[in-house]
Amino acid sequence: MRKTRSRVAVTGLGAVTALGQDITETFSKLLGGVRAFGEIGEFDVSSCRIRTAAEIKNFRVSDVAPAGRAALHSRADALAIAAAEAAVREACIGEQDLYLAVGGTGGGMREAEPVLMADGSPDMDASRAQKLFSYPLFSSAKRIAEVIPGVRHAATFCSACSSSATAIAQAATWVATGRCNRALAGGTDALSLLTLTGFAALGAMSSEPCRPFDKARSGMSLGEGAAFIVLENEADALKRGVPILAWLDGWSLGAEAHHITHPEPSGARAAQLIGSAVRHAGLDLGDIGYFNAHGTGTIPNDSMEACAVRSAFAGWSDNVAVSTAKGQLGHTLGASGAIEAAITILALGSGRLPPTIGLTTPAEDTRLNHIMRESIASRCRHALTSSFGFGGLGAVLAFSHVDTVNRIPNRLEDKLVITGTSELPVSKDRSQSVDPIAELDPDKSRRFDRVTALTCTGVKQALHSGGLAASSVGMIVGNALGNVERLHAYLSRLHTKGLRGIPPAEFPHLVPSAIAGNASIYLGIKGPVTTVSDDGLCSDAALDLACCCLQLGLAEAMVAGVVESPDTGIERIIDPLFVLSDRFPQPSQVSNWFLVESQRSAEARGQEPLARILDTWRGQGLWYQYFIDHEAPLDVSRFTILCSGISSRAFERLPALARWHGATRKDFENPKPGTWEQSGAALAAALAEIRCGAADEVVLVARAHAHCSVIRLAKVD
Amino acid sequence: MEREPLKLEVKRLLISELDLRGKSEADIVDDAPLFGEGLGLDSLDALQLAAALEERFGISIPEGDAAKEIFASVNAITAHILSVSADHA
Repeated sequence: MRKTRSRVAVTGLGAVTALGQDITETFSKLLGGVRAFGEIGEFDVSSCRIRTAAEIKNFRVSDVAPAGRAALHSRADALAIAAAEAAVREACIGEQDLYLAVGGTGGGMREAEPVLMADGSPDMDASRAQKLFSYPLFSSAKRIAEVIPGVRHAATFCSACSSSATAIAQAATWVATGRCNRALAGGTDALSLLTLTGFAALGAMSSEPCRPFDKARSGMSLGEGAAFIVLENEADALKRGVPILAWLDGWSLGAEAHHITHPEPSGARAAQLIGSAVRHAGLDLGDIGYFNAHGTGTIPNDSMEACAVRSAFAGWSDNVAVSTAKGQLGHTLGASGAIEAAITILALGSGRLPPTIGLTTPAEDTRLNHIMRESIASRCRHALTSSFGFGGLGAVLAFSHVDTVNRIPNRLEDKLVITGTSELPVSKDRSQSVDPIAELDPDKSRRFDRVTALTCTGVKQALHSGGLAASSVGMIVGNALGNVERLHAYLSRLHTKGLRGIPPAEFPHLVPSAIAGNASIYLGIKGPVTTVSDDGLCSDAALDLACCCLQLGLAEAMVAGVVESPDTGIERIIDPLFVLSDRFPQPSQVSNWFLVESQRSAEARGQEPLARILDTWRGQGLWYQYFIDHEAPLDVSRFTILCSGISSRAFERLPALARWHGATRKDFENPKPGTWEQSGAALAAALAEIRCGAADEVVLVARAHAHCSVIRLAKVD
Repeated sequence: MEREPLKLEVKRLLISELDLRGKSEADIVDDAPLFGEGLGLDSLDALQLAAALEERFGISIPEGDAAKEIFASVNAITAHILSVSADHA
């Protein structure tokens, strides 16, 4: 693992918003104070009480999707492609090795809703089945990779309204730690009945265009869009001679562990995240000239955020200009982090900061150095942008003007260890399973579903086995599909009973990040928290991300793992479409968790590690590339190569891998696979090989659905 | 509607709608506070409870401070249901 951190450059950006299909047009209109709110006209919202939003007009999926494949692309997919292509064009990337990080909350919800509402029986017709094709949240990443060449690895993040900020932070971590030279990161979300009705049922939505920070504010307004930025390491960008738009110098991720919808009113955790992002960039609070706020227009968020800004900046807060774009673009949910990052980058570069439209008089408790009515000129060199989502999942990004010198602290943690793991009985089918919900404290686990309960129990076991308290760790939850039966139940009630029939308290639990948000609240976890999906290798993606966070010092310890629970929605609606049940007729519960920390931290607290993590690697289909790129040590007799999803006999057939032939090769057959997730148990098996002394080093090669990964573990010296 | 069976019905509704798995009807005291202290319910629970009461009993629950008084206890909820139902009787 690398010892030094690279500076991360932004070399391209693209966005599609309700103010323009080109980011330059959007930014110019933002500066001009244009508001994008109007009657929603692109789909039928007659069943909704609030029917205005910042909707993107004249955008057709068929204009963006590859010829003949429009029916398989959701609106969110198409918005993402348009924004990603613009970013890649600006950065002049050809067929080059690229990592992709996508944030979102709804995915193809808008297209899937009518099907999920009505029935979703296995004998649905082809046109209805097509509408579910892009339902999984990781679909946009797949669709982008189909049109943008050179994507070696993709991961999809959900941390509710901070999803695309999390995606950008994780992508920056990949680049900073040298996993890749270049990454494309951003997010997408389209308007849907689910969000229009859900936020309204919570009383969180204003019937007028929102008024962020204003004393008369009455809630948020929805928007939609997508934005992507290209990140690359400094040396690479300078070598290519491509214009650098800004530096992404610092970032912080963390959870409040407070409540699934209410922010913690003092904003204490948010203030810590502001401070952390600034320190991570090697800056002082006094260096920040502009704060691009989350600023949704709800009473609780804006009060909390203002409090956080004032306490973080203390005496300096009068010098930090503050604005939010949500008074013009609305709340674009999973896309907001990325759209607002793009705006912050352009603000820094252009020397003009956009105003908060809709704000005329701040409230007593939201007073800040607000930019109101008109944009202002600024020569500030460093800016922050913040995002906060359901479950208290927050992210702050720190950008620096291209002309600034590098002040980032550049040491990386290069020795990581696994210090704990969960051992869970997994069952063959649901009827025989121990009810995971029954194992939790009932007062603290209200409305938890099975996946959330499994997560709480599994993470707790991993922490317990490693002797670590929850508050000092972060958590990466690998999960591909969320809870489909719960979503189906909610949408069915909307369909049959209308607005009055939907249960308001259910809505916050439907976002894919609810698993992570709820678990972090239940366990008191306050480090970086997000869900991640990498199709069938969610556990490997989660471990890789946890290692990234540790290398960069974003947390002292992380729990990473994967969870999946069979549900009737997956069985009846999703599975027939993707026809996996032929291969795995009786999917099991999956729940595998690993506590990972720096070796330094484990030694400091006297904790004996279970194994060292030497390397984590991601690829797209070409699993053997790892073995070609990495020299085999002279003596591999004490090595085990554990193969999951590929046959170990492949080693014999590839002469290029001859140097690895001395290693023991084993095939891992997963006795209890889930419907989607194939790799969590393999990682547990690899760890078991080390612990029982069967091998000094284990190289786990895993493949699922054309993704592949390599994880190398070694015994502790 | 009779007051005592109605109170029991309200308690059952609280348990099912708010997922109060650890509680039975016997655990919920008629005049104990529901929000803040007592059962420790929050404003998200209040929204859910309002929607459930409206659907179950065909009544409407006002928003804001008036709702707080109605939700003060099982007794208060029961009294409200009886009074608005009497209005329609």
